[in-house]
Amino acid sequence: MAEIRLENVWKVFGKVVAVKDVSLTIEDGEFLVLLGPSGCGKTTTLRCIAGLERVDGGRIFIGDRDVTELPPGKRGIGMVFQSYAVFPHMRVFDNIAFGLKMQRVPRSEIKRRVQAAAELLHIEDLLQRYPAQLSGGQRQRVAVARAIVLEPEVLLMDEPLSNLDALIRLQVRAELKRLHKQIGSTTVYVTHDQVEALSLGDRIAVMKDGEIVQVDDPTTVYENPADVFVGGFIGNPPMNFLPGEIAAPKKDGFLVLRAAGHEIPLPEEFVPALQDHVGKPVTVGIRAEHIEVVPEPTEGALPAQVLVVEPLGSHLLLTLEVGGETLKVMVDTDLRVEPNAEVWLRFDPAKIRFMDRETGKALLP
Amino acid sequence: MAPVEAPVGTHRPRPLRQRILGTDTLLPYWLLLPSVLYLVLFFVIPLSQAIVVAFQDGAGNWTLENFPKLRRWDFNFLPALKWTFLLALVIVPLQLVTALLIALLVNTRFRGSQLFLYVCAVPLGLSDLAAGLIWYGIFADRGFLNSLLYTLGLIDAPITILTPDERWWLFGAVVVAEHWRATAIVLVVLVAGLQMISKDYLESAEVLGANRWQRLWYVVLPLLRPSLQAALIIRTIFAFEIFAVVLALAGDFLPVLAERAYNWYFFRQNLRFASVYAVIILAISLIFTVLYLVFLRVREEERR
Amino acid sequence: MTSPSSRSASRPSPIPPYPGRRRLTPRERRHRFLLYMAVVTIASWVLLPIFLIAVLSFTPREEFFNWPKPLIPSRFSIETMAFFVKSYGVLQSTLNSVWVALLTIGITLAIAAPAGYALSRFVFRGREAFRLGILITRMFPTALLAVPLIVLYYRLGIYDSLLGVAFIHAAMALPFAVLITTSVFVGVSRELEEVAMTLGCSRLGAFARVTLPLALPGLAAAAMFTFVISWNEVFAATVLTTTNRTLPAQVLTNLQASPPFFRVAGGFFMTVPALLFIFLIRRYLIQMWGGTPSER
Repeated sequence: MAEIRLENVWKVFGKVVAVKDVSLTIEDGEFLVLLGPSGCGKTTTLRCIAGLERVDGGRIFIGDRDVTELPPGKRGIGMVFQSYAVFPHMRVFDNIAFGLKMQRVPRSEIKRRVQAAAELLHIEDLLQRYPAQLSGGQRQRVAVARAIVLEPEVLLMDEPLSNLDALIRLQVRAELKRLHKQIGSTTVYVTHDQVEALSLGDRIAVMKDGEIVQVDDPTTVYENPADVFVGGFIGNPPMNFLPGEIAAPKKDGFLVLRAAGHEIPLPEEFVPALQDHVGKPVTVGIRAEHIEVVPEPTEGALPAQVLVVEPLGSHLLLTLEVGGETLKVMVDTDLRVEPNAEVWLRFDPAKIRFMDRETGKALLP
Repeated sequence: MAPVEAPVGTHRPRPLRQRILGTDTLLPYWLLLPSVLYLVLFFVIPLSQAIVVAFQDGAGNWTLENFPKLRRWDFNFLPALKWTFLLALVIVPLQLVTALLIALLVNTRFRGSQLFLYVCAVPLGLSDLAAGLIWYGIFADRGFLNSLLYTLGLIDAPITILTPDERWWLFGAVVVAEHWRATAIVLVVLVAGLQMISKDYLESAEVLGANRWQRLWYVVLPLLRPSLQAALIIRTIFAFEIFAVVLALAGDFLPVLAERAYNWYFFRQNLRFASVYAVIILAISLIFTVLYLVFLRVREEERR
Repeated sequence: MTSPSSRSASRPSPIPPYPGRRRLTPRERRHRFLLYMAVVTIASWVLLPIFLIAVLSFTPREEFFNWPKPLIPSRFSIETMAFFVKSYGVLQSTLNSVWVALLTIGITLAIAAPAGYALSRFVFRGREAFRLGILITRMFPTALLAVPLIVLYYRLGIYDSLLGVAFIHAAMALPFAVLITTSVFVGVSRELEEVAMTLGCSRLGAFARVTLPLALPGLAAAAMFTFVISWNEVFAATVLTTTNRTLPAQVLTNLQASPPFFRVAGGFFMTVPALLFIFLIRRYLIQMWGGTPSER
């Protein structure tokens, strides 16, 4: 097993900088998810690690080896592609055995290892079939088995679930997690699906325009986004953002947030970080589930008007207007609200996040 | 996009073999090199050679004299020009209309349309010479056409269709044979173009109230323009090269440009006049290609 | 696909039986009738001449000049064909044609396949220029290529040689072959090749083990198309040879002096292999004109 280290990696296609000075260390045995919108450079980063793209700058290490100049086959990686790329002219057995044959592993051992990998993925009954006879989910398993049969130090996956039906996707997602626990390869997983990222990753690296914006464990990425982009990209619905201002109305050291024409007192632990921002404009971020909707005016609650009510089964998703801004709020289904109704919102002060209005960067650590 | 900043000094020299062949930047050029060289050898050199021969006199001086000289010496020069243009003028539009009709028919995807398409594409595999000979069997004095006319009671004795005395009959025979042989290429191009037009456009137009003809006129034909352009260019160029069909049906009684080039070289070993004809054919082809490109222009932003 | 339905068929089903296809309205039936009338008419227009020349080629000699000619001869006869095949130079020129076509295939594929691969796999500067160049070469009249080559061939000592004819046929087939091979390689996902590379193959190894086997049917089609181009070409073959004629050149140069049945039999003889190959590659006929699909 091995850690992966990217040092100032660049990849440029013509005039487009796909990967811009990315440095990242993925620890031994870690499951790291590269997450970002399409075109953010996540797949290119993965392909640079695989050696399918030559980097234009920087170095890549796997374990202690500098693999920057090595071809893909010599890097000790296994890769699963979005289209699975299962060889259509070979039986499942030969697909899985392909890499072993390249390494000239003795036949008896090939047989044993293919069998073991197939069992791990529950496809031992399919070994004599051709890929055309398999379902999408089965092909996906073949692709994974083919990658792990080499016992690679590093497993790379490029959106492996995106071609699957929603139901199978859930199932395979759970299985990938189990598999990772079992084989322990350092895994880099590319996806644009934030739910996948949150459920699978030990850590998530969020990318935008070829740069890594934030690398943290899923909870931190969700709760403490590094900037407005991350907050808006992760979570469904995305984080709400309001323009606001930090104020210190009394001399007792407590701060309040002025937003949408109202003042919200802030918890004491925020004071040190926000002290320097008193009187300055900020962007306030709050998740939809951290806003409470009350039918009556209450102390510290903001008046709001209901615009849209969307029942989502387990919750209601409300779209509300507060002082000219639009907010999304999740509430329990037992709350009876109609469009155009007037309601009052209470923010959970501990869950409020502050970003610099200019740069969008988070103000709290 | 972010500005490109030069990544600093991270490159290390790679092995020589990899530097020449292994990188993705150079490999495609190595792969293209043979075709580029071959095309230069077999297109650029003959082209320049032909131009040199056509525009020089025996002493190697540049001159335009060869063209009027050809006109004086070859009494078939003007007829060849006339007949070639007339053939192209009649055959190409006829083929375009026929091919478009068949393509639209195929595109209705009726049961058996693929078989029908294949049947219509069959002449693609035929040489112009073979096609000319096939129609010779039909138009000959005791051929099938005469027999049919007789059976229908229209004539009493065989009439000679392929005779030097009736140039227009020869012309008609060539038109029929060439139309039969070469409509397939237009058809195939148009069918390929039609297949690229998403059904969604047609269905949207239908929902918006366009009838069959309006859909054809306002949606299909405009979207088909690139294919129409390609088909017209290819077909027109080939039409000015018409050769073996004419030779098989009319001998040299219906002079055409390519036949003249062949004639001057083959019977009189005159490379200069043969080259002049070749250059004339190229010039006409180029003029028509440019005309099509200008008049059937597909704006870049219209491309899908 | 069918097994679940056949299994459930044995059980009584609560679903009412399929009512069968909807009856067409008279208007629809009229349309369909007109459609098939048109289809049959056009198809006969295309096929009838081929049928007629086939009939004529197997008509007994004594009936060849019969008047009026019956649609079907009284008996099947190979005299006419035998006369053609035994005519001076025909057998040799047929062999020549096959040799030229094979040489052409070899030259064309060796040159076109790498180019097609490059166009299908890489985005590089000059790619569009190359494609444009390929398209332009299709515009050159054969006469323009063949006539100047006479001198060059004399100098190189390949005038009147099969190799010389194959060279120019390859030049004529190359643009088409590049287009076909490009679409063939585009049809083989590059991810297949990449996965082979992650599994330990070199680029060449991945091509040989994965791409080539999958591209083989398409490359065979390109070869057959090349064959048809070479087999059918008349002008260049005629002016670039004097004794080593290909079949079309042989037939053409003897045309004026030959009896009608020679011409007819020659037409039929040249038609057959071309038709066979066109049948085999029918799937690609449309594909190759759909523009070169780019993999972007």
